Amino acid sequence: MNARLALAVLLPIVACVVQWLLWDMFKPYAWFLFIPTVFLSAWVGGLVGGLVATVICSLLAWYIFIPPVFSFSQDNPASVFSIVIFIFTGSLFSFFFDQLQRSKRRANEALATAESANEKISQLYQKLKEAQRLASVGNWAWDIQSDTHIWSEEVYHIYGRDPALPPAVYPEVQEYFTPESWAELSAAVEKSLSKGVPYECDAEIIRPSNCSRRWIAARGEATRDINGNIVNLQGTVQDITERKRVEQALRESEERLAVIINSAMDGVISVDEQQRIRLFNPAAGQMFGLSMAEAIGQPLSRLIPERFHSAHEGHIRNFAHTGMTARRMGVLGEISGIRTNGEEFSVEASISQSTIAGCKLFTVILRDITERKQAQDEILRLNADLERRVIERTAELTAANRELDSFAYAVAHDLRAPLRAMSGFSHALQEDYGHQLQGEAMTFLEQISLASRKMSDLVDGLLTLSRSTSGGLQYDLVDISALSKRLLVELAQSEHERHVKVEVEAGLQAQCDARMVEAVMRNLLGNAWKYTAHVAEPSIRVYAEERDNAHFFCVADNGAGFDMAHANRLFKPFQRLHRQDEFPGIGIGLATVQRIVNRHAGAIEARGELGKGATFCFTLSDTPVALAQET
Amino acid sequence: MISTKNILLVKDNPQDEMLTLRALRRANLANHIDVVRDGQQALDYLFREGEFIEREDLGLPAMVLLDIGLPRLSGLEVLERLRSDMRTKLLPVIILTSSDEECDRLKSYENHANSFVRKPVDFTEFAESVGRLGVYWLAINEPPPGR
Repeated sequence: MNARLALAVLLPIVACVVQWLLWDMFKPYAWFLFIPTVFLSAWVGGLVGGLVATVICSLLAWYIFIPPVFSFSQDNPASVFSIVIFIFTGSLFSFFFDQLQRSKRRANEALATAESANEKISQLYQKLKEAQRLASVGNWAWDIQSDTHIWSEEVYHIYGRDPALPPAVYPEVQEYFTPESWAELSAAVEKSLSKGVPYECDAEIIRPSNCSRRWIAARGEATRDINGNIVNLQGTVQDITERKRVEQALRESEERLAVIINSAMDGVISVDEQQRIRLFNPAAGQMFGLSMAEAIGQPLSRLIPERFHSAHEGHIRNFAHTGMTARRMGVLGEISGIRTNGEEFSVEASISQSTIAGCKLFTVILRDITERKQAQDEILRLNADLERRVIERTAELTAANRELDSFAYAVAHDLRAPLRAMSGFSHALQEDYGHQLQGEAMTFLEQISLASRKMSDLVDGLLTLSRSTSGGLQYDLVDISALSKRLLVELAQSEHERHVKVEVEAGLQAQCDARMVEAVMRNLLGNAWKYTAHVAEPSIRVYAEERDNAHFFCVADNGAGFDMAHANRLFKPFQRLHRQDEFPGIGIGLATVQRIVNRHAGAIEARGELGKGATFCFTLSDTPVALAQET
Repeated sequence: MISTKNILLVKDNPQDEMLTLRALRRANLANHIDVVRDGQQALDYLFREGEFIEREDLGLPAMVLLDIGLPRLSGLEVLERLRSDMRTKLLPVIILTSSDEECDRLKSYENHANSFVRKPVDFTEFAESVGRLGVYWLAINEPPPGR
């Protein structure tokens, strides 16, 4: 600003010098260069510069160029007048430029203000756009007189309309709506247009771009001019699809819940803290003979036999204090319900508590167990019956077994007496009258003796067989190696003349009934001994075999053997694979062996080949088979 | 010294009886042998009761050969009674039976039978057993002191 002022002061001096030099050209126009100088100074220097230049110019012109030159004395009125005019003109320039500058400054300021306002507006607009996007709310306006529509960007977005297009006008905007929604919305808009009332309605739109359906909340209101005419309609659209979806899901969930509760086979009853019924499903209705309408609001006590009232209330109160959310009822005893016809029935119940909107709600799920109880009683009765019958049958079986035992006893005792008589008297006949007998008579008598001895053996075998399946088993650790050796020594002593090579594996032992297993080994070793009688180098081997996860005890010989084709007959009583004249026997030993092994929950198998020996292997279990006989 | 006292044979089977008598005879035992046919008769004979109330008191027999399977009272019951009575507590009683049931043997010994002999079916063996029995109990064995 000082530079401008200096320039404003400098310009008159420059003008003065120039005019002095060119005075001969300009004479007598003393103001010739000063007038534009003042103009320039005022332009450059503003009010102060202009005024200072005016004063300097007038003084310079006055002193130098207005006659009398180099003097301020003046008596020419015209000159004085020109000075005055000059000063006036200079001042005028100064004021004019000053005003001009001020105006210019103000204009600039105003421009700046406007620009910053614009900036702010633009920011606000961005924020609004952002807010609309976030809230999925768009706004629109409709100037009815000019029929112009304005949509915010979000409206375009919600409708899925290309933002490059102009807004859809009313009623062409209908294309976006489902027919039902449009009917509702257009009615509201028409009403607002005619009566000026605001409207608000939910409508479903279909975006033409991808046919996706959305729900919007449309709101609008009319504005009137001073005359009360409706001139404008504006409003918002909000995308509420998500809300609608949640609402729908909630509604469906509620409906499902209602369907479940209503179709449940169990009675569902909710009561509030005052024990008033708040929910009562059809199953409960059927159970108690009470409709839902009748039940709602009634005290719960109506459904409970009177004698349980106080106890029941106590239970619910206690339950409320437990803080548990659910538990079975009837832990403290049976629960009963009462139907409207006064009939009592047994129920099974569970209770749960929840707090909904600050109110405590107890929900009881009930099951009528009358039938089940009847069934249970029936089961108990049947069980008792069954038990009784089992006891009876067991007793019968025991009696039958005892009878069988006494039968075997009688057989043992009574069959032997006649045999002894046959043997005895034929012997007596031989002794006393032998000398009188002729021909084959003696042979016949011997045959009688033989037959009676054979029969005696049969009786003994039968008894052994019968005993092998009766009586309890006494489990002990039995040294089968030692047992086998002892039995083989006995056999060897019974037939001195025979020489059999025996081989017994050491350390064979089993948990079993000692006498029974002795019978087993006696039979097996006896057989081995017997069937090796015709072999040149007889040998018998006792050993253990591990296979199929089982521990087998085996007795093997190199005797007569048998044909595996007949192996299934080996263990049947009285079944023999050899003729009496080959190997005498009664065919009861292996049957006895098998029964004893079976009683030890074991198994026995035979391997053999005719003329190449036989091997019998058996297993024994630590735990015996429970037999009805062992009562 | 060979006892000359009676022998009492308790047996309900006449054939067995005949064979037993034959066997005893063949063992050259001269003792008189009385035979009764059931358990009750045996007790009556020994205690001189019932049908034997008139029997001459010749003291107790040298031995009793007692079968088990008997009508009315079984041999084991007879033995039990004999052992519970002071008069017959020490009487030599030999169980002579066809039974080879363990329980019979056990009960016999529990009731203090002096011997348990199983009758073999074969007569030769039977005769031998009975003969040895007689010899043993009448000649070898010393009876309890009489009162």
